[in-house]
Amino acid sequence: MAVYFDNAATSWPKPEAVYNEVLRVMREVGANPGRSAHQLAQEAGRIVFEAREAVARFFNIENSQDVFFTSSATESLNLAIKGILKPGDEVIISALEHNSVRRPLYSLRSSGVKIITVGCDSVGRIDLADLANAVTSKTALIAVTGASNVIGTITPLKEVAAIARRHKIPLLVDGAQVCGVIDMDVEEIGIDMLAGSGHKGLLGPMGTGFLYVRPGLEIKPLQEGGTGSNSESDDQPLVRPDRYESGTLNHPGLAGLMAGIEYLEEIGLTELREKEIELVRNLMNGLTAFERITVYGSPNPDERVAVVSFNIEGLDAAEVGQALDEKYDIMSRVGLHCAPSAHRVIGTFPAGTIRFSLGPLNTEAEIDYALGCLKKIVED
Amino acid sequence: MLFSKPRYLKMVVMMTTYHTLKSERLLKNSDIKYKTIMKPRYVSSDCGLAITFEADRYQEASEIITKSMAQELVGFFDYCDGEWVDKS
Repeated sequence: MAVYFDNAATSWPKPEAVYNEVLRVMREVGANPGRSAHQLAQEAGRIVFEAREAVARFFNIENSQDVFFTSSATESLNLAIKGILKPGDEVIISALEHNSVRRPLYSLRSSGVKIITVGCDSVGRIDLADLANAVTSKTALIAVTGASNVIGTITPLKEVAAIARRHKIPLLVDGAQVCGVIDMDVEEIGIDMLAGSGHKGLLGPMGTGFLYVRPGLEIKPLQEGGTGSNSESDDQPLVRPDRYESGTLNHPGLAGLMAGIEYLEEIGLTELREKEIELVRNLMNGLTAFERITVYGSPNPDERVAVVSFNIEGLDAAEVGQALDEKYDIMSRVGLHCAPSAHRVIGTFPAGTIRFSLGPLNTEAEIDYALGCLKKIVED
Repeated sequence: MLFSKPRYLKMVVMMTTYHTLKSERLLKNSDIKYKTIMKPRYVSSDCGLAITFEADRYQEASEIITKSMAQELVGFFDYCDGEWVDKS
């Protein structure tokens, strides 16, 4: 039995419709969307339009022109962070942030941007009082992950958004681990900018991502170039979405992303989430039954996305990962998961952990199989 | 003139492909007959597409497009004597 437990890196397998749409569009609608105006280019443009509408619908974004397509959540976060911060600004982040938030921010330190990291408890629950106290007159952005990619802890976004709103500070959410996993209604939560990955919870292909920026919030583009509009001007158009989308879009990928979203809409996030919680519950119950295994993060599956990090006493995480892969065909991710700060929170820096990240297509049988394999490793 | 008179004698031009295709969607939903075309180069340098539609439903089309996209509208054009003329 081959088991894929690396869905936090990228979801796999994808729904059949995702593969079919990517291939269909590459074969049958291979023109450039938004550039030429012949009938095939029009059809390509309509695919991009429909994908944008699908993203807007899924996250309750009123106007799809506020959705900008990117190649990844990382690009979206760079666009948001570098587009809004100016020298002298302060930014507040959580201790669980991925390097896709930390590194763009750290690159701005030389230009005078100050980073303030707020604390959290040992299972990753953000300290909201600490967050509120960290706000100053220079705070220009609050950036938090929707859920930790290491321990799965879900950030209480509504509470964070309330603090941001109270101080009139834009809130940026790194949605890489939550988009397509938990309900992310930008209006209800109060999100000003949502950076999403297309190839994780949304079940689309790699090379797709998006950034939502609420109307009225102005950010600078990350790059300028051809947009297929206002071509006589040397200046980048100001109108959305073109202002932020220079260069040819990956419309086969966006067709796949739309198919992934439609799959989620058809089954329903609630049903998928309940299934994932049950899988996580069984996995955690199994793992915690081993004396030599330490499981990190909240013991309550409702408080986490389907990401479970653990270590086996006396064994190197990479050796365990290698054994799982080679001997048992179980694919996991070991190490720091590009989030060193989160590992400091749980005391696993620099060695890291073994991470099982589940997806909607994993099964109870796979959990049982993995637990059986871990039993053999532990008893060896 | 290389071609015969167009089927529909009103044309709307928007700033971007996105807003053109959104207009197309609005016209489709309102049952106004339309055809998406390559925008004549002399009209504007904005998006390469334009939408022609039934002239006798201009008022209705104008309302539904400008209601949500007034700022992104380049203009409405009439087909007169072999060319498109801005009458908006």
